[in-house]
Amino acid sequence: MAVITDVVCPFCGCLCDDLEITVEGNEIKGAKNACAISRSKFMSHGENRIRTPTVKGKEVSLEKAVEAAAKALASAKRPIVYGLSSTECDAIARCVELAEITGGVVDNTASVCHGPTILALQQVGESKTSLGEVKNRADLVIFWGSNPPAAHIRHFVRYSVTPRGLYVPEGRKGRYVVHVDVRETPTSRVADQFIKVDHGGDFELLLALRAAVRGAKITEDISGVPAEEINALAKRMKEAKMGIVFFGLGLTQSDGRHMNIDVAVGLVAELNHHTKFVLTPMRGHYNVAGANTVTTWQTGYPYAVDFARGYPRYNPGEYTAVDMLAKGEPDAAIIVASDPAATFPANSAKHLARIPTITLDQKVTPTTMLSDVVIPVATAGIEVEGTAYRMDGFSLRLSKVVEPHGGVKSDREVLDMIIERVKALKEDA
Amino acid sequence: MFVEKITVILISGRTSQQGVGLEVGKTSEEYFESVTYIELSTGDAGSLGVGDGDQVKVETAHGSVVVSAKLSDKLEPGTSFFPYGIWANQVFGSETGGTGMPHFKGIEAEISPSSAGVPSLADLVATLKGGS
Amino acid sequence: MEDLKIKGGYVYDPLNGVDGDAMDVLISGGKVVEKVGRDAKVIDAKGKLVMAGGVDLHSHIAGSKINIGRLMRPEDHRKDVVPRTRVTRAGVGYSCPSTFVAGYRYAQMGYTAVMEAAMPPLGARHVHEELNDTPIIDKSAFTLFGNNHFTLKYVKEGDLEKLKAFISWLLRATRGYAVKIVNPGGVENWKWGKNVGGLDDLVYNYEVSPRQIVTMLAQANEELGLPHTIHLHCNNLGVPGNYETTIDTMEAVKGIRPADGRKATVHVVHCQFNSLDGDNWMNVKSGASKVAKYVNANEHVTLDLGQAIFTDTTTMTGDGPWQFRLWNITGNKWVNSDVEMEAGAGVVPYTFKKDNPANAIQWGIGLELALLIEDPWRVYMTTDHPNGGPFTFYPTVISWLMSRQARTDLMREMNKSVLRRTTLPNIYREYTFGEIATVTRAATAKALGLKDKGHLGIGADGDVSVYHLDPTAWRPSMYRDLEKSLARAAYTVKGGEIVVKDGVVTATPLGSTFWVDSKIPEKLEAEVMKEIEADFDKYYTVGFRNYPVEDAYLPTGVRMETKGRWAR
Repeated sequence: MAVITDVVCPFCGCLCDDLEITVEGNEIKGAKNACAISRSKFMSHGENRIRTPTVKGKEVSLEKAVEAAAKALASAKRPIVYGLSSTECDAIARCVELAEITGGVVDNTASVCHGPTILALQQVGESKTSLGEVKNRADLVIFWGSNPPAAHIRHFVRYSVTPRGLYVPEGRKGRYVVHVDVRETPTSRVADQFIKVDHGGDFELLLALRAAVRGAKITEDISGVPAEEINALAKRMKEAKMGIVFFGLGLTQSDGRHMNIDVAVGLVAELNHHTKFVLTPMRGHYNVAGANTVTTWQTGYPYAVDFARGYPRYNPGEYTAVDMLAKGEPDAAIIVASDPAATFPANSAKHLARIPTITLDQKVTPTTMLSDVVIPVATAGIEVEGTAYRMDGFSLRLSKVVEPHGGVKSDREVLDMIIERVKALKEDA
Repeated sequence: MFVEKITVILISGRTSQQGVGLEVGKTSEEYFESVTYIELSTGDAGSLGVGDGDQVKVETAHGSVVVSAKLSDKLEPGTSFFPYGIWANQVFGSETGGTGMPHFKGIEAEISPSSAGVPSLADLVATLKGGS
Repeated sequence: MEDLKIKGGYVYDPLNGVDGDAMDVLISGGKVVEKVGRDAKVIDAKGKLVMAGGVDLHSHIAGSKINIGRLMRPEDHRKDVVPRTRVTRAGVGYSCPSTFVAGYRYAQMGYTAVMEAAMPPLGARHVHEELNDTPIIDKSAFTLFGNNHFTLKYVKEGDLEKLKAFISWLLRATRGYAVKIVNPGGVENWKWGKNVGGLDDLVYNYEVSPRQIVTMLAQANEELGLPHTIHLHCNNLGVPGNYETTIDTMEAVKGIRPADGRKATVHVVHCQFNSLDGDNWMNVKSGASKVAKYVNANEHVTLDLGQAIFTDTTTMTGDGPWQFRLWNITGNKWVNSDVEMEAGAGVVPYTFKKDNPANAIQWGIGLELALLIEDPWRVYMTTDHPNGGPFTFYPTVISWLMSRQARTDLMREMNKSVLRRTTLPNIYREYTFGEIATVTRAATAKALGLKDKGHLGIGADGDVSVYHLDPTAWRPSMYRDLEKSLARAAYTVKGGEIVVKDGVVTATPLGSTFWVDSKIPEKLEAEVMKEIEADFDKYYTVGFRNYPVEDAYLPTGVRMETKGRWAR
């Protein structure tokens, strides 16, 4: 029995790095400090695994599966590489290279989570911080359209609500917590104040708050929020020693999308004339920030990158996976560490069943169920080392705590094999 | 008297159970249980005559699906919550308004009682394959 | 790898006293040697300019800041796209080039070593990941110290030995090469939305001044015998009148005994931004002649230009409050990024315009510094890429340094402020090829303590650049030819391998990453580690054992061991 300490959790953007994993033989027996989801990931990582590579449902060798994948990709005119956010950075880099050598498109799951946040950043910027600054200084914490107990379970405890920090020695008592959302959630119950905003009303409310911070007096209710509540929150924001807005998909997936973030960024920027204020997106998948980071340093762009002309081009809405699939554009797809058949609207997902789809994953998913080629791979952060980027953009080293299940290869290794074969096939042609 | 159907604003999102379930595996019972329901306010459920666990049909401009109802006294009438997953994605559209991001939160949906049965994962994958 | 004979070029190798002699440069096993085999590959350099590979000691090419720049500026990339070739990866260029393209473009200009000038410790892993995707050139990264909790703590306690131990540990943990200081104290205050206004302002809670931070870090740096001096971005950057702060800061580190083998105790970075006279941006004028006068009289200072280029670029510094200020001045998009316990950063796009009086003056200041400081061994050519402009403009900057006509031709198109509020029109000095070799290679390598770089003596690294330019026939009126030939090297040789031919990349080896391993006395190390770990557990959100950069991130790391002077 061995206990491995300081293990980084490969589930959500919190990237908690204090897990203690107990291993006996090649089996995980315990996951101390892990949240419910993390525990499930570690304890059940061996369950429901894909047993063997398949091509059109038939069991084949890894080499045969790689050959089938390479042939499909090398002969495609408009291949798409999608996923990336739940694997380590070296594999992500291979995904970019694969798109480049096939003249295809590479997109990652940011396009359906915080893509709009990035669009806003490209319009107006963003004042952000690493999570420790929140723990050490923030006396006003606002969760807007986010619900950590559902998606980032230890966020409250490690970073944002209860921890004692350098200048917040009292912990929870030293902070005022606000929750803004269209519905009451567990976050509302933790907060000192819950502000219920009308569906689709975030933009107007944020704009009103910004006006109030600039000195305008709000005299009418906005988006269902009483005027006096808006004025009072603006005052509280200006008077905070250090404030932060943690915003979630409540802003990016509702009416307004990137425009909601645009105005939130403007509000926070405005507040910096009065005090210290920052905002940080609650990134979902543990390495979606890494997918954006690696893709950006290699191509200049974070997602929705097209190599059809030999150089990278970027256009969300055109080269994003949901749109391309809905238009029936790709003639082959390779999905790495993602399940678009389940996470995309059915109208987009169904195109994956019409074209040669290759999927690298650990477990059976709707996407593997409709894929032509399925290749089982090892779990990054449990069976493979690598790098992951936390929601605030700082990276940590993922651990390998057990040997890969059934001796399967990592995403990176399989992608290397595919890349090598695609290059060879392209040379021949 | 109960009404035949109601119109709600539908939002989809994560839950911790869905997170736990998907890590066990998407073919697992845990996962199925965690994503094949919608939350209805007790008021809305009452007007439909729907009890906890009863089946309802969720229909939008983009499609429909049958799932179980889960009653919530926290939700306000007129708002309904659907955990992310392939079931929810039967009713969300692929239009992104040029952003890449579908409208996963805040669309109109009609809810009505149903006895059609909740489709299985395999059923839904078959539908995708059928292209219909 | 086959031996190489670079035959008969006009060689400028100032570290070895070679000034344009026609001679051969021989390379074997990646090093400059006395003799090569008879079957050595011959590069005909007859009638061409030959120098050691360029060494840039201040650039932003890797890590969170430049990547934020890339992320926030799709419009920057769209005007400069780089297709894939059989040898090279696709990417984008201009002010925030992708990693691959940054490596290619430096090599295409004959540069073979580039230092990333600001590495936030918590972001060190990220910096190294990007450096590993930056081909051809050798690299290192400078770790940020000036607003770090432990720096401030040990400065406050006045404990020089513990500060030295901390520096040694953090350089090792981040695989860093030098002590970088950005707006000392100001960035910590920015975490409360404030700044420091000068050398004797105080840092909140720690109650120490920038003067104390800078002098104690410089003292520690020299006692540790680190290869490079402190690398300092002064307080008040971009504030008219800041030349006084700059000179005061230089003066503050004057009495410190330098490490063995050098006279300098401080390197002041992108000094153009810190040599402003006047009270505000309306009446701003050049303070360069005052700074130059001080530097000419004081051997303990080196500096680099941060030359401004008239183009659209992206400013990015570890100076959060300055970037906030620049956002307020420009109204352009603004990203701020604070790093817990240690640093901050900001990014704002910026365009230097010829018809903008302040920009014209800034352009003049950079050149005044280069031309008024007499000793080329102490003033280095940079644009503080991409702050003053992209590094791809280096050939243009060199043409300005070497040709008064080039300067005059441009000044005619500029706002007249450059004529009235700088001394540039009255400066007749033109750099020689030997001086260019000094300020772009020899002196920078020397200042960095990279003994095998910046020259072509026996044993030097086989990093050579050959340009299509006959220095004996060149005249300052031919400045456009100079620009063209420097932009596309005839050959760039890296470690004995031809990596560029006629401006085209032909091979993409991965260069080395240098880092400093400074040995700490055992007992002191144990004591300081205990203190650091205790604060880590309380205040960081990353575990102490997960913080240091793992060896996996330095596949081509080169450890440089140093032994300092320790009192305990």
